[in-house]
Amino acid sequence: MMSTPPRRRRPRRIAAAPYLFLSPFLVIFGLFLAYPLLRSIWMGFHRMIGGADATFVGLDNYRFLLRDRMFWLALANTVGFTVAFVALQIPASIALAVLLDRRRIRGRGLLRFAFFSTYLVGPVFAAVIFSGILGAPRGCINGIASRFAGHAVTLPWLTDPRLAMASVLLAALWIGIGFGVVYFAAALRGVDPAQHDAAAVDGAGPWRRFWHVTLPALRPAVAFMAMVGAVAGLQLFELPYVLFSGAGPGNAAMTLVMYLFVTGFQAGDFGYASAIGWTLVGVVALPALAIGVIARARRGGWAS
Amino acid sequence: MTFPPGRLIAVLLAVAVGAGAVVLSRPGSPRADMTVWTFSAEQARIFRDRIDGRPSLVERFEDRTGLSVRVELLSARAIDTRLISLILSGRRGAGVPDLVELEIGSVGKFLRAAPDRIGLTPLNPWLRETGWDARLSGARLAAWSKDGGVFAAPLDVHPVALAYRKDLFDAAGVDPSAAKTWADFQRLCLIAQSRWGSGRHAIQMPRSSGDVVYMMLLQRGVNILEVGNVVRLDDPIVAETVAFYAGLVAGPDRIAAQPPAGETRWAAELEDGTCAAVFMPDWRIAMLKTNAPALSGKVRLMPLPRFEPSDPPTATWGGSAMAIPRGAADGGRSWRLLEALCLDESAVAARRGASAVLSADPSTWPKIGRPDAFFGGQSIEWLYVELAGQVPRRVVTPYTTLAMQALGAVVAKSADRVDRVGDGGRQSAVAAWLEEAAADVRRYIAFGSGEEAR
Repeated sequence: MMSTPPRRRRPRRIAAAPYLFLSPFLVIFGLFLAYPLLRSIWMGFHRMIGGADATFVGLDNYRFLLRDRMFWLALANTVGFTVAFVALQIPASIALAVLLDRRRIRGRGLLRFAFFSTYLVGPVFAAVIFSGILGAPRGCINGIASRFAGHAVTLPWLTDPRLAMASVLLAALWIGIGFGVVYFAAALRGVDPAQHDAAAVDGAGPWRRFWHVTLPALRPAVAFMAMVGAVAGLQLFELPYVLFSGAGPGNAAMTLVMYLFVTGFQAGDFGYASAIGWTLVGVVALPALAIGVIARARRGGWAS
Repeated sequence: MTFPPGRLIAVLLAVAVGAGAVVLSRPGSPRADMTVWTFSAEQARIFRDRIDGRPSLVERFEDRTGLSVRVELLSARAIDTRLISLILSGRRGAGVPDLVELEIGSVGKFLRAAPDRIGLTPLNPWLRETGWDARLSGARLAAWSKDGGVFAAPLDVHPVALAYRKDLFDAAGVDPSAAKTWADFQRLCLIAQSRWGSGRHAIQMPRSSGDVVYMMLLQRGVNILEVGNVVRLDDPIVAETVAFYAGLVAGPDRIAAQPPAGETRWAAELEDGTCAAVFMPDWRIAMLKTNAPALSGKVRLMPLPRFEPSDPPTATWGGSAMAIPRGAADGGRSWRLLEALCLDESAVAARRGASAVLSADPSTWPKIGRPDAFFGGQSIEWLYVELAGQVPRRVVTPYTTLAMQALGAVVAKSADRVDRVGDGGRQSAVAAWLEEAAADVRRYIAFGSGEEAR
């Protein structure tokens, strides 16, 4: 009986090179991103007293969130701000971008830079500027209002709980509209002039051309700006924090990220702060997903 | 020679390598045997600078012990964050500072754990052994203590007085120092304001934070959180005080202007006459003299008005203390450095030479008051000594910041209500808000201490 000779196994060659090249990234990613993220999930299920101790508490941190009035106040402030910001930033940016797109306007490049320059200063500097502009009694907004009114107007922008978020919104729009103008101005370049010409030949006036030609063409840009604005709004922190040196009068400018910061770094409650953080992730993800889904569902959405 | 990824990438790589080389070639800060973290530039100067050619406090310690000491000036927030990180990581020895200066508003979070798990070393054995526990002001030690353990050595007392523009009040024919109670003070200020005309308020007080109300409450013997996290926000005295305060910062009888943002702009507003008085803890004296030199001879200090004759005519505002992290290399060595830099006679003398701040050891307070030309020859040193002896006890717990936030929110709502609705039902509305706030704080304390749902 003949036996077949045993097959010699070939040593399997492992293509190590790609892993070798990837390893620095993977190590850094694991150490500085994946580990802290996983650790913060773990912390969200623990009570961390004074930093050193950790006791497993299951969902207690998340349950307490539901009954924490400061959390709901921060959430309401943040969502209210975000809705107002997006609702005002996009129309204002489009209007200014359309105006700047007119051929008759001279120095368009300079004007575009002037609008964009507000975005370049960043939220901290903007807050410093606005603390001067809005500060009572000598702020320039009150000064201008006084001139028009004919008597001293001393609106307490920074000290009245009812005006606190409006002050933040003004400063945020001052920064955000500049960015929006530049973005929409670039998007307007992509609108086919032949469509405008055809609409004009059909007798459409400037408003109908804007409504039926320009605006549909800008839809992808609008969806993108809405998503970026919503995410930025939900992550609002530096602007009110610097403007009010904290949460503002009566916590009227408390935002979710600020509450997270206060809970973690001022109260030293890292477990609860982690729970707030992961809830914030959910809150931020919701509008981003919704806008993405709506945009995909529509023909010509940003994703396509 | 070609570089396949392109010229731009090559330039970026070269810049990255060059920057890395520069960073690596920079000489690091010299190694020292011991490290001190402080957030106060003045404190750092007192530790490091020679006075009249004599060795500095640090140099004296180095000469005596042969150990080198590095004083690092950091922001208070950086100290908080770094210290929390060190406690979280459980690090010991190298990298852990030997001494840390903590601000009174931030100490609560470090005291959240059970005493044996707090990330700071209890100082009781050394305090007892050296007799400092009897010498340091008990009112100040309370703020840095938990369950009998003292976790930091207070550096100051910070009594509060009022600084007022004598020239402006004289012009109005009013002497604010004649006011014995806060109600008197308000009445006199209203007379002065009516004679000054519009545009000037008598005093700076915030309408949306609890800082000044808290000082008034301390005068009345109320800590909004007592030892053991007993919430007193819903105490009737608090409601009465907040309701009164709301009438100072809002409504027709308002006497207060909103303090401006910025560390020293309060002095500018006192100088330009936007307001005629400010709260003046001893640490503000140097700031006033530096930032408003034109006020020399025009300002005076007075004790705080009170609510009841038995209340102290002062309160306390701010404060710091030196702590030894539990992970410090050698606690005994850290304590000796703490004594040398902050407590012993040469340390107190160095501090006295640099500022008007009184130490937490009453035996070192000046016995004779020197006249101060800036205050028209008034002996402010002596006034602060008199007030310092009456500073009310201030308790800080891990939840004091939260309670202060809640108090500030009620103050803002109360002031707003006075402007909108007027006086009717003010105190009952304030009391209802305070009850709500107290319930919130109690719920948070119960949750934070694990007494709820577990």
